[in-house]
Amino acid sequence: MRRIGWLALTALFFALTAGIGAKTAILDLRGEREWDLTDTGPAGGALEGVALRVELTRAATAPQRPDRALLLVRLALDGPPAARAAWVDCRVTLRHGQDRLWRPLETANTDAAIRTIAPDGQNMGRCNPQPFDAPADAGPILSDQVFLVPVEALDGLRLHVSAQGTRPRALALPIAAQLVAIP
Amino acid sequence: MTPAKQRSLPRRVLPRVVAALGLVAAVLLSWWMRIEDARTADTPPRIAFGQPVDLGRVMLTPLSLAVAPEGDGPPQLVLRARLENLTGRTEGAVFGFPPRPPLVDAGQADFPQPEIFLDRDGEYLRHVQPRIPEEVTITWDIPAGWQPQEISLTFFR
Amino acid sequence: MIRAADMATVLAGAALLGAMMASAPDYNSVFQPFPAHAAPGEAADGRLFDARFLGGRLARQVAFERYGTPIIRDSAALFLIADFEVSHVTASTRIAATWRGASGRDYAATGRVEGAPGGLEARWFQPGLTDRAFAVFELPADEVPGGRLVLTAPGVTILDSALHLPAPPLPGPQPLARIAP
Repeated sequence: MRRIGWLALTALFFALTAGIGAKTAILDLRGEREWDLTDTGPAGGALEGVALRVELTRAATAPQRPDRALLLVRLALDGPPAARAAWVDCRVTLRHGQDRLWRPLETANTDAAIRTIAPDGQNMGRCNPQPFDAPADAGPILSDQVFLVPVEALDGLRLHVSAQGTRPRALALPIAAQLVAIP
Repeated sequence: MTPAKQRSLPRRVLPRVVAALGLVAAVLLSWWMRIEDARTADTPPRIAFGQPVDLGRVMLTPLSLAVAPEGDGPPQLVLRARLENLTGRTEGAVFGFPPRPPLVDAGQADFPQPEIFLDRDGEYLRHVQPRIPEEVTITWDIPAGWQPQEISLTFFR
Repeated sequence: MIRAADMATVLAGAALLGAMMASAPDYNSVFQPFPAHAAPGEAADGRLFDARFLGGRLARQVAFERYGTPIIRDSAALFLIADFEVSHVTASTRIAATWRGASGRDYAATGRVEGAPGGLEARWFQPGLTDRAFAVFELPADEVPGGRLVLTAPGVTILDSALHLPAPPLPGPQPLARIAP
């Protein structure tokens, strides 16, 4: 009986050590992955007190590369500053099925691409719900992201939006875009 | 096993004392050996130009040292050297990370961090590939008021 | 009799411990990605992307234009421009290229041609799109035959895959190779 007690105590301390060591890893994983999806309609939805609206989607192809399209997604995030504070490291990705994930382009030509595709010729910047130069209560915060996707994948794309404070919860919504040709 | 066979007190305690002392000695010895490994020599060996210096990841051979007043820029202390990668992979941090570049010891003046150029390109040194020795120029901006004098360079590894 | 049994236990324990110590992976190999090998000219299958070695050029000098400025780089050894094709990307990624030479040394893609048009450091590879890219290495001539092109995602590659693509037969070195878009 005494031996069982010692074994149980050893097992308990072993589990405690492993648990304390794993806590950071588990928290990191939760802040990194999106597995709790909130499905909403194509217009947008709300998550953790922040409302997301899809302002604009537009896909453009160039005649030299007709197999690929640049897909511009303009998002509007709105909510009280306290709720928006959890939205640091806002992450916008496109999915198609289980095994295809697009991240927004961030190259030297991205700004020019966004300005070319956007109907108003403006680039609203990256998704960051706390712009330092914005007034405290000035309505929704806009952002522009552009993705390079094959034209055949334009049907059936889903947009995932999450942030450090919401993950593993994320907003998931279908994205449809009409295709325009840019010269 | 019977109580009658019980040994006297010193005969029971002595082996335990010896064992404990041996354990303590082993711990102390291995600890001291680690300290000895980490210790660096109090006075680094002196080297001359043309003699290679083992910096751990790279072998550095100082070739020449001069004050370069040419050009319009501020005067610079210029060390030309040959670097050879001793590792099995491309080395981007020739002076380690965080970098510990050679230290100029010349009177009271404080020399700033040097810049390292690849002679072949005239651009900043990016990395040194294995088995391809490269000649480099290491330059320090000379602080105001410094007069040419005898200086010594200290290399770290 | 009991002595012999104790001895055998201790010896067996020591042998078991020695076997465990000998077979445990060393600190370095614990942090290496899983290699995925391919036959020459075939595509290797990785976690994030597949890749195929298309061909390469050897040259004593490379020439390219950086923001309109012509630049020529020379070398004490050789430049190898390796062309490869990337397909079946599962998530948008950049790619880091290394040449594992015939001697086993690792040559990272050279930074001396940074800014060249189509350079690997500025390229992103997207799902659903098959793209060609190149990497430029600076290495001694005897590291090329028997060497392998190793492609990984940039940064930490623990638990990720590294594609090992053996070198196809390459033509002899030319005096100058031009990197053009």
